[in-house]
Amino acid sequence: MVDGISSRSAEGARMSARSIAVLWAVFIMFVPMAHAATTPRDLQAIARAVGFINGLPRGAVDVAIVDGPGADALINAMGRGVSAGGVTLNPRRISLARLAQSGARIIIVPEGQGAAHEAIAAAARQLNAVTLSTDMACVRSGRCVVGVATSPRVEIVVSRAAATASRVTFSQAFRVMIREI
Amino acid sequence: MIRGNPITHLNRGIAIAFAGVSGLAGQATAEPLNRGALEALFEEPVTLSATGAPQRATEAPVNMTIITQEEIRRSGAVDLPGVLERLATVDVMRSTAGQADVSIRGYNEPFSPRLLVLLNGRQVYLDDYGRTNWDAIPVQLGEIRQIEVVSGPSTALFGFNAVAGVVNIITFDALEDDIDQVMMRAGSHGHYAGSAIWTARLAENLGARLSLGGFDAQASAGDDDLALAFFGTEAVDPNARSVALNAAYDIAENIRADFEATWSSSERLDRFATSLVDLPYETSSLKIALSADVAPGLLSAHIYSNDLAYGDQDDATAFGALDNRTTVAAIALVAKLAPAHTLRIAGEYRRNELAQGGGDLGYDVYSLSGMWNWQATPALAVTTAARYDLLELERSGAFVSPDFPFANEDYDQSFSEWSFNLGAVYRTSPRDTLRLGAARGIGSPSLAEYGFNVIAPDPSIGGVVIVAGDPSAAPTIVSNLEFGWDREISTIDGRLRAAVFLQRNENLRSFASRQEHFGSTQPGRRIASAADRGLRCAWPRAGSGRAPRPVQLGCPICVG
Repeated sequence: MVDGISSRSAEGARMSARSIAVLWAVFIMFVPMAHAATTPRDLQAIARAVGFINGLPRGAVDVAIVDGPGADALINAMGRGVSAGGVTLNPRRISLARLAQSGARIIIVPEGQGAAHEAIAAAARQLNAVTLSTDMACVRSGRCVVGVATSPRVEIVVSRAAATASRVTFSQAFRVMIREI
Repeated sequence: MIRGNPITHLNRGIAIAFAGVSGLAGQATAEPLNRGALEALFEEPVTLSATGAPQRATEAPVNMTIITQEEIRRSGAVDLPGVLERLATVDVMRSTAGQADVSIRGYNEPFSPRLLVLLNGRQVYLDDYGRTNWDAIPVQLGEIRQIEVVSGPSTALFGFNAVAGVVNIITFDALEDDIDQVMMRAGSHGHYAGSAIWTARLAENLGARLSLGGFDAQASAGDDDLALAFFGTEAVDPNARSVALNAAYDIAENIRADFEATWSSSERLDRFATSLVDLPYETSSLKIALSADVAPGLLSAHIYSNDLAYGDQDDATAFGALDNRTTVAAIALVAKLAPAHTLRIAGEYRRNELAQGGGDLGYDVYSLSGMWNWQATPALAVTTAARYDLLELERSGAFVSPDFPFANEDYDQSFSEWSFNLGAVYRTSPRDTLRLGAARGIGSPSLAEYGFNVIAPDPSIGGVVIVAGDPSAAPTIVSNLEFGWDREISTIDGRLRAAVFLQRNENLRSFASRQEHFGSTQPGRRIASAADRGLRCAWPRAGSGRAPRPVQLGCPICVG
């Protein structure tokens, strides 16, 4: 008797687990996932990384934020500017159409603009601008120059192809300490 | 960034301290290697002491602990040995008031010659015995950015004396870090100490830091008893003074020059083996360094000269009085030739001269070294370093006695040795790192072991003996095999670090035998060979570097 109850309970639990798994699979298939927001810690790391790029101005500099998905959140997160490492990054919203004529030297690519990566990279090449993003896929595809992750630890990844195409160079000590792909 | 929090030290009694440490964030990375900016970016200390190339502390392929300024300040320690003795891997032996000998992985003894101690890459151990007079190191605790402690031989990077380990003291940057501090302290046993640090930004591209400090204390009753028995007088009261001037100048956006000038003096009763000496020390140094961020990589060069005066050479009764000058010139290039491959090539010349008793002993060392770091996968890095040293010994001048057992020609000796460090670092998870290392280190005989030129009193025989050294002394060879495991523990913002090692010493030498030292012409004793097996585990420091907690729980076990 006790064994029978036990067995039915176990079977019920298995069915419940199966139901939850199916519902979860449906959820992740049909509900668009929110893009991970760029955190203040990410922005600090981006600003510090800018300090190791040769030829960029120090102090307060304007950075282009490509308008589109994720731009609002990123601009809000940057507030009146992100200061770190002797550099203050002031966000300027720029439409993709005007990016190549913006004169920007630094472009931050928000998460969720995968479809625009090629166009952003083309504009960056034209401007000899550095593109930075927390979207590592952009770096791995060779379209963004610098990828920044801060969790669980700080990782900096540089696309040599993208850097070469945009004529971006880094301090040698920085190069030794980051991962180039 | 460092803020102006008052610092209070407690030291053996009533302590009075006030300090103001202020910092500027100025981290525009014009200079070739800006430690502060790199540290801020990666949120952990950055070191060159593992491979000669800049590395994150967590990626170093050696057994290394980095003590940050925050940890020094929170420790309450009042001197360098006091800071170091909190590490599970370090043994500190305090023999008399003021004298401390530090060793890593055992074999500690007075005038221990197995530890390489550097101040911003300049050696501050003394070449006479290969020992370190910690009181005479011209640095104040408040100006130290970090202390890098490497356990195990690192000859392939640093050369001789890096036998048991390396202590590399790194100060703040004279151009980028604004450190201003005044400290005074008083304690029991007549202990008074003070230090002052002042930084000035003289121009946009020129900064300088001046630091000075010292202490006075009374000799302990035990030291007085020892001195009365040996000298017939009370022990000298320990004291020390030091001053250092550091300057940094950005010659161009990618070229930087650093200048350092130091002077220090110290006096105390030194317990040496089973004997005693109480001569005053005086050291001075000059150093110029250049570094450049150039197309092939990070190029650095330096030249420095260290002077040590121990006792008064003109005083015939001053046993062991000597003058020692060490001159070192070195150049190195670190280049990342491919995404996964970083190389370092370096050359060094060292001239060591000892004037004593009317004779001049010296040697030249020529060194070439290379390092290759291969990032095989994002999680696995393999480092190979090798170094070749050629030492040529020579002597000229008179001997202290016609009975001296050697002639100058006997000192025409040389030896050459290879050393290497192999290390693999495998990050098995974001929290776990495994390290495997193998090393061959070289410990050159000290100048004392090669050729002292002294007549020493020996109360045990009621007369004097000649201390001559041995020009044919052979170097110590250390072989080390090590496996380590690091695990980040986020709940305490710390890290568990554990290591097992097997170490073998050939031609191990020691001063710890009075009979050998004073009863024969050999100042050192060769103890043939010894092997150690050890286990070490500790929570050495904070993991991320953002909120360090100076917790040290260690269980060092050495089985000889």
